[in-house]
Amino acid sequence: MDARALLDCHPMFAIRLRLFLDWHVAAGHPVRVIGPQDERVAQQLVALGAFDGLPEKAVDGLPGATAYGTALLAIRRLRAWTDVEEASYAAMEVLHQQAIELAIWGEPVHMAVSELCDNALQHGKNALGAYVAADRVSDEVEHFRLAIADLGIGIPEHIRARHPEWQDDTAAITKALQRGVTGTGDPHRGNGFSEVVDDVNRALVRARSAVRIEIRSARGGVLLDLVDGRVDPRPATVERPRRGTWITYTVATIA
Amino acid sequence: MALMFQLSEFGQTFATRDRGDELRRTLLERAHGQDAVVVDFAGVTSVSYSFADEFLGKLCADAGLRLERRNLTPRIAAIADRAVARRAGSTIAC
Repeated sequence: MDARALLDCHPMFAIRLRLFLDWHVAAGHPVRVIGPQDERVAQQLVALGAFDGLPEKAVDGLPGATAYGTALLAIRRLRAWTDVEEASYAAMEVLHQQAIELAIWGEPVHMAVSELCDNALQHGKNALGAYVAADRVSDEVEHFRLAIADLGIGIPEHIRARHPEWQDDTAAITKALQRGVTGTGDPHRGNGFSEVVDDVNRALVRARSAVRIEIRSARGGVLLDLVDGRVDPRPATVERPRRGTWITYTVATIA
Repeated sequence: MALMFQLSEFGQTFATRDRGDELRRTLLERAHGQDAVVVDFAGVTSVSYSFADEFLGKLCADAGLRLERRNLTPRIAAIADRAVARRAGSTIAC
């Protein structure tokens, strides 16, 4: 993996990189990484734990353990409910330690990590488990960026177990987000994502913020911009099909 | 006499459906032979909706127990109310 040309590092990219490396390590392939030339990107990747677990000799050109970065939650690999509880609690606690504008988001983010990672483990079963990471980016607007991913069957295939008529992947994801829609057969399930969105809308009453949730799975993609209580999913551009489910949850708030 | 079930015995944050399922089974084992349970949330700081549904929602809907909830924070009480109302049809039984 030659990462010298990297100029930016979103937590989702760090997770994709880590997943790629973990997959090759699990397959027994020899792995070697050449780190980014941009020092801030290299530091951010180290802070996010993108290379954790790799043999020391496998990574060249990276800063040491004292690396500076704005990672709030280094990549966690989730394989059991205990991991989900620890990750959701850690995300909430780290937000409570931030300035008030971000601290408000502690409980909604706890709900988001809990529900989205629970779904990733329950419905996205695969050998690697699920991954979560988060960081903070500050300029005129403060951004909290949360990423959750797994390499499971993906939302469209899961939901088509009950609704085979939803053949378009973007439409299948959009419908899967609606309250009460579930691939499990239990009529009382399918409410978790709606609770995440409702939690965001309740927090928006108190916070000068906006939230974007972006979901990509298989050939589908959906964007939700939550600003004023309205929930209006719209299709996201999908450049190529993706195995699994990839979700970003971004809070933009006026510092 | 009601069984007292202290959630803080198991942790202070609860986040998944599997965890809710496990705790519901634990509670039912302990409540064997009793018709009332008090679930004490003292010390619990956060729960997810799916945990609340799997733990409280199913208990209220299916277990045939009189259930009382105590010491919930306002946020946890609101989450629990929604979960119980959706699964059990009402929060009156719990």
